[in-house]
Amino acid sequence: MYQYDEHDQRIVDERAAQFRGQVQRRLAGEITENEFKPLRLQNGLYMQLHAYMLRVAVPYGLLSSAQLRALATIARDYDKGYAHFTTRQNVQYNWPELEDVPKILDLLASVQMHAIQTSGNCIRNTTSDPLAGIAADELEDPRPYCELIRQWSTFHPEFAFLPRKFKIAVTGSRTDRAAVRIHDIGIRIVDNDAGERGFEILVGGGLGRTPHIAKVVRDFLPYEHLLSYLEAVLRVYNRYGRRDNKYKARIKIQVSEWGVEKFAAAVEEEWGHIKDSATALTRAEIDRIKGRFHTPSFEALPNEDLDALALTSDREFARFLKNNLRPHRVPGYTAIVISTKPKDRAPGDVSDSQLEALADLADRFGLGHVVVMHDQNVMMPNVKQADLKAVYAVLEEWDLHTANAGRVTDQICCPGLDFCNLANARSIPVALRIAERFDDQDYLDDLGDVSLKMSGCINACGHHHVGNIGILGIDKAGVEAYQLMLGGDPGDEASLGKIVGRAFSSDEIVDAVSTVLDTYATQRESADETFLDFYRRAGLDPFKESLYGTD
Amino acid sequence: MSDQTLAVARSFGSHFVITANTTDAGAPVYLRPDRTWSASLTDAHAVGSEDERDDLLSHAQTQEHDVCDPYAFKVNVEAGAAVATTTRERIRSQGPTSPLRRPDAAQG
Ligand code: SF4
Repeated sequence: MYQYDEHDQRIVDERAAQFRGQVQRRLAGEITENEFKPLRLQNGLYMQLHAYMLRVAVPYGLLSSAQLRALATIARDYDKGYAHFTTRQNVQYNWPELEDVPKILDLLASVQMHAIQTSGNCIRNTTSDPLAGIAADELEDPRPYCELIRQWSTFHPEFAFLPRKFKIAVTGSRTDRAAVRIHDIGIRIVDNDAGERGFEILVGGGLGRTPHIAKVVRDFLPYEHLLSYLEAVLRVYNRYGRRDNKYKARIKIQVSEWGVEKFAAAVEEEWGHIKDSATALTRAEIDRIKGRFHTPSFEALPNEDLDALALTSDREFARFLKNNLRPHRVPGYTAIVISTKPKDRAPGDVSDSQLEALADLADRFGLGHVVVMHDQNVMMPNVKQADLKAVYAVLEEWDLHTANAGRVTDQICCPGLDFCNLANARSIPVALRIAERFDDQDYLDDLGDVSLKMSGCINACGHHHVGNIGILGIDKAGVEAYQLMLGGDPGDEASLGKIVGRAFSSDEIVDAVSTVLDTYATQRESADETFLDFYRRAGLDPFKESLYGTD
Repeated sequence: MSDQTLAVARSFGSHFVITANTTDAGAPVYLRPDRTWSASLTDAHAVGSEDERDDLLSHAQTQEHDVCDPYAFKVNVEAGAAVATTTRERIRSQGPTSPLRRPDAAQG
């Protein structure tokens, strides 16, 4: 866990104090909404349908128990008792009052948190692998590099007004769990043939109106040039990215219109001017950042026989052991996925008391921290296998024990038209109906891992293009309707979902999902053929046939 | 009269009402016939002509101390009260249709 130094702390303290003055002037009528809007957006404060919404940055998803408790206090004292985890590993509050926001920012600053650059056309929160630091296939922990990027990009004067928002993800593992191919810049830590450490740089991925898979612009970048190279990419984008049309302003459009060779050449040329500038990283600087991460110390423990534990446990705990554990590189430890998706709750929502329960769990059993995952769940990364029963008992007490990680009810779902000003259709009620319909856990386990991702509009905050099953809410002459797409995946062989056919009404969409799942279940070659494998083998036709017949 | 462009949302219906979000809480409010703001759409002054709409909207834009980004949208009038015709404005006037997170299941 990174610990702020005095510069980090001063930046967030001063920013909170500055915003307090701006809010006072707005409430006193000294500045208009038009003058105030860019100021509040720079502090993550949006206006939604029913209230303001504050988006709090959670760098690379990492939260200490003290931070969880502060988030719980904010939820209880300044909101309606809950917080919402987003697909960018951030936290949102849906109901803050304007005069309370400076108090919230002060409270956040007191636990080394802020809402800076969670909105606007700037470099947003850098995301990473939820298993960062503990994955067996990891070359190096990516989070110190995420932190370097955070520090470099915070208030970077050149990149405060980019053509559009800009998102970066970093992974240190061979298997991509950070969805680097759907980011403006995706960074993979790699070694070259000579055994030297560096980065593969991908640019131009993104979802939204025009989804693109990122392209490799440099297959090996020596580690010391990370920031200068990022700066070169951002400069080429900032200078030549389109500002005439906001739908064509993301870097993915520039890369696609120019072609990756021309784009890479422009970056190389720019980089040539700055590669040995002050942004060059030294090992000492990287070690300094690493030194500010509190590295957990692990005990020497034997691996437990988890199969035997499952056999002697009740069905629900056995199911939890099967579905919600993720491997840890240290023997005797495991990571746990804590699902925020029981059948009667909006995906990603957690109450104040649940946040406090998570903080207590992290302190007692998780070496003091948790990770917000980009699928809106929470991971406890460092749990002793011998403690699993005790941890599960607490999770059960707080309704955080749903054993559906990776299953179709482990849905990603954006706030949609229940909250969001930009939405075309509701997503949460559809997610709740899907959870209600598919509550037979044996059926879900038989289907295996199927990702379902839903967005309430084309902005794609719910990542619907990269769901095995994607649902997009649309507005058909004032009536909500839902487009169904299949075959998306954000991982190593990233693919974008394809629309199956005509959109479904709100009444039809859950039946349509059911038909899709049944089509797969009855036509797969064997239980080992995953939904995605089946789709890649059979294509859309079997689904079209069962959804639309011959009409 | 404000120098801002008059904002009219894409919508349908026989009449117009004026809405905004309050500066203190961001809550949706609607302009009453006496030109005060109400939290209830049923209190809104529904007007039939574009001239009346623009007059109300111009007034609303002078209220930017209390409210943010006023705009007009179309409604139908039933039993003398404005009724939203789009899902967006219906949800905005009535609140989220999905249950809020509280209370905790574990707390009963
Ligand atoms: S996808 Fe659209 S509806 Fe959903 S949160 Fe993003 S902008 Fe709002």
